[in-house]
Amino acid sequence: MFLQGSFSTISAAALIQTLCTERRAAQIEAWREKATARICLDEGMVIAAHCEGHEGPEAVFRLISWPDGLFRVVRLPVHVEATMAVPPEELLLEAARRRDEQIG
Amino acid sequence: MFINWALGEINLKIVYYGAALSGKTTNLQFIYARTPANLRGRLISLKTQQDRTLLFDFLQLEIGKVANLKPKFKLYTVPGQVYYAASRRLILQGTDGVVFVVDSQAGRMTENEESWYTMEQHLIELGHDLQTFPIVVQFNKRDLPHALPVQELRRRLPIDGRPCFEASAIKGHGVFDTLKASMNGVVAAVRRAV
Ligand SMILES: Nc1nc2c(ncn2[C@@H]2O[C@H](COP(=O)(O)OP(=O)(O)OP(=O)(O)O)[C@@H](O)[C@H]2O)c(=O)[nH]1
Ligand SMILES: [Mg+2]
Repeated sequence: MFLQGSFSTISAAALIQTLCTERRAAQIEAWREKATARICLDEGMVIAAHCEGHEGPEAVFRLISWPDGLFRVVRLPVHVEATMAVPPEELLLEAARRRDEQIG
Repeated sequence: MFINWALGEINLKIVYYGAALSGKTTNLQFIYARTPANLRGRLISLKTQQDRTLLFDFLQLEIGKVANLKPKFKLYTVPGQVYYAASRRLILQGTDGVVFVVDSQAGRMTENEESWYTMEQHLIELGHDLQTFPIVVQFNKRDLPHALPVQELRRRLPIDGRPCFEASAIKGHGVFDTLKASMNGVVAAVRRAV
């Protein structure tokens, strides 16, 4: 499995949701300027996430707020340890809630 | 709508929309509690400042296949409080049908009307045709003594010919009738489209 592109073509949020809806076991590797991110997906959930020194949900919030960047999707490495199991909708709704509460 | 080619499923989305405290979350909680565990997904509960919004996947098997795909419904609620506008817009994205939950209490009509208006605005912005988009209306809290007569509610909201149900979500009355009408409306709209 190998897919690559730019977040100007598909947003990180849409990419994560699509892979999760199809229940792919995949790893998204992303980079932008000096920042990197790695999001692991399995069984329709986000099972691990790292971005700009953050881990877990916070890492996903960081990645989806990137204004641009490049990504590559690869098969989920066998050694990946699941540190979370969260459906992407939950993370995205949480991100939306936080944004509203910051403004409101 | 999302066609899940890999799994032979069509994912359809229904959003429970309506004024703050109208009973959207109560509807979803009742549906979740009464749906066998093997037919439902996980209930997700997000804490908002005063309350919470909920979402869960719901697999409905009674409804026949659509274009040979198995329909799978995802039910969402929006947070009704005014300052969650961006969240409501986001949740409405990609929705295939809306259940509009009306709070029948006399003092809540302005909130109902405002909420209806913002729903229409969002749906128009998302490119839907209000004439054909499946909206089902639920008159909730019928158990309360100060509930307005249904005729009065109908007069105050631009319901047109849309399906309407009286409900008391807290008791579970009318909850599944509303849901079934919405699922049928959504499936009929999809069938018309293919
Ligand atoms: N009497 C009565 N109370 C109800 C009914 N449905 C909901 N309630 C109550 O109304 C209050 C608000 O219900 P929720 O389901 O949380 O309302 P909501 O629409 O999700 O509200 P927001 O998330 O803030 O937009 C709760 O105290 C419920 O118990 C009903 O049919 N009858
Ligand atoms: Mg609620």
